[in-house]
Amino acid sequence: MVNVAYLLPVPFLLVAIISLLFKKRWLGYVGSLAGITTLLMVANVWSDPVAAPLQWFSAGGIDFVWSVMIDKLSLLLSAIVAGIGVFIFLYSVGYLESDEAFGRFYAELALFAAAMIGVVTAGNLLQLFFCWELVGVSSYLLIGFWHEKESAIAAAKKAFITIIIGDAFLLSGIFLLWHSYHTFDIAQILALMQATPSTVAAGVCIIIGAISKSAQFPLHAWLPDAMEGPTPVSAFLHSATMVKAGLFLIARMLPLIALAGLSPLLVVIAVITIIISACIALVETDIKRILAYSTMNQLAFILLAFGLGATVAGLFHLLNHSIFKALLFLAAGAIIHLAGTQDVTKMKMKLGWNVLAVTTAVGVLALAGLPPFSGFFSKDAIFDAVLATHNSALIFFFCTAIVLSAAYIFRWYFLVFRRDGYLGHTKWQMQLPLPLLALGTACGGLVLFSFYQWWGETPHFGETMLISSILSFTGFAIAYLIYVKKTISVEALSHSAMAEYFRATFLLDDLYKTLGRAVERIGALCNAIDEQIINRFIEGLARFFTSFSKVLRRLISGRSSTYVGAFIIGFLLLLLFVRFA
Amino acid sequence: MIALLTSFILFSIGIFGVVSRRDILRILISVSIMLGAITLLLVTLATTTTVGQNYSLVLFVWAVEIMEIIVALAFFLASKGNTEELRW
Repeated sequence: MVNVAYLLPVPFLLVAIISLLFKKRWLGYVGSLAGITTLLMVANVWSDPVAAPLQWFSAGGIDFVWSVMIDKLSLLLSAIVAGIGVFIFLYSVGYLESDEAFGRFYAELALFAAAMIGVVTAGNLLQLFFCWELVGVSSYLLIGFWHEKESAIAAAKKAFITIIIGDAFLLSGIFLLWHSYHTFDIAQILALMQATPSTVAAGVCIIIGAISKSAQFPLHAWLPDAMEGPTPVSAFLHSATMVKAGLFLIARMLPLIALAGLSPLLVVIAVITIIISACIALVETDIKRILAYSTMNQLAFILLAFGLGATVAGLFHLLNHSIFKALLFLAAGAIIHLAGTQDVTKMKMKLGWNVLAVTTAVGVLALAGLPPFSGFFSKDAIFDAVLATHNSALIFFFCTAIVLSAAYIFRWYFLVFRRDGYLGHTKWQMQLPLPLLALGTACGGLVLFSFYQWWGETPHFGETMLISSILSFTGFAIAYLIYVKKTISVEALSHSAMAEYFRATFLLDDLYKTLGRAVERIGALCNAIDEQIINRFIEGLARFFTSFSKVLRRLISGRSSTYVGAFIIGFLLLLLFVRFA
Repeated sequence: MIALLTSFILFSIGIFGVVSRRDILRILISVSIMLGAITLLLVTLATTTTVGQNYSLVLFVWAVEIMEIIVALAFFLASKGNTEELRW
């Protein structure tokens, strides 16, 4: 009897296969059911962790096994994937009402969920990489789901190519680790590791691989464009689960990264990403792209927590962020359906006591970090970790980051929701997940103690909570004064050169385009070499042989005198050859 | 030693062919050249050293290669069709 832990990806896999065979709309409900089943299986495994590895195949003295590693980290992540998957499948039944390609959508979404669970339960690095690639492939398929749209195809290609760069580094890191420790098993590597140069190099490679998946600088440019996919995809992959895969990998290999002394690298990457994403989120106008940049920002907060050694704080923020970011994206999907546009400056939803405005407000308040919502507690935990470094520059920077994050998300909210807005209703499948997720966000703070206890630590309470609340409120006040009361005018600022620089994504997209064109030029150079040099050489050879054969043709003249002459000359040459050789 | 060198040269020829992309058929052939170079490498390592005594890995690689050829041919035929004359 196989242990339940191995069967965790199976419900979603079954949904994928069934969706490919029967293309029906109600399969979304089956997807939700699969999510609930997986949650039940996770609860089952909770009490009975770690199973023996299964032999897959053996080649060249290396054993490729299919092993499963169940610890707190994998339980948490699989619960997140399965739990949010329940809501996403339900939501997509209503969202894709006018679409025909249900089978493809549910299949790709379920494949992604199964692969993601495979990533978080992988016991050895090869299996993790295999599922990691599957996650990247399903992300590519889902971003380019509406493949008639040019921009969607381009965004899918951009995402996949960026992720592959990280994958190449990740694979190199895995092989470096094998070279040092002769095992792919994660638990064994973490037990055997030493601070050798090759381990440090492997750590750097793994970090780069994780960064590509979690959209941190410099491999971040794919995430805003990934919003070309349908909103359930954005909610599931690019806010709640797939981008968390990179952070999961870092959390999994954190002992190795800390031993290699690479924690400052994580902090630097996180800081740069926070700056870039916060600045761009303040000037963006597309409703989903603002949320994409805010995802990048919050992921950088989690990365910062990991870099500072506050793993539990980072994981708590990971949990809370998954819930409220999924909530915000699903709400954004409903808003897009009702408003008919994705441009924030062109829409007006009713700001009042209706379901949409209230649940979105809950998500926004949580992201800004205002009490008593879940985001407040997790952001405060990270703030504690930052304060513990006693690095005044970092502390000042993080305070600014909190203010900015509150500012940009309230800017998003106040641009979308106005007093004189439009009030509408969407399908029940889209309405239902919103209050449920909002409830999860509101009650997130209640699990603070049990979460920390589960990990064996105690949360820190104190005056820092007041400071972080004031900072978040400052951000809220700034956005309120600018966009609601309109007391401060940002017209001049939003048309300034700095804002234009932010809008052009810090000119990083242009940098990547130039890099891509440079690589294309190398290809053109190779093409030129091929055409001019190699082909000419081969043609020259052919011409040589043709002319040589023309000379030889003279021997076949039809006149017997030519043949007699050739015979005599040949016979003389043969005599000379026998005499002198 | 010679076999390893040949494998590397073949692989670089394959990469050269993929990068100087003129038409899809050229790219597909170059990818096949690359895979042949890898097979040569694996078989060389299997016979001359004690590292790769098991041949199952080579079989895996070739199974993937065959599937890739099938998919590539299908794609190629779908895009070009067989109503045109055989001239690329």
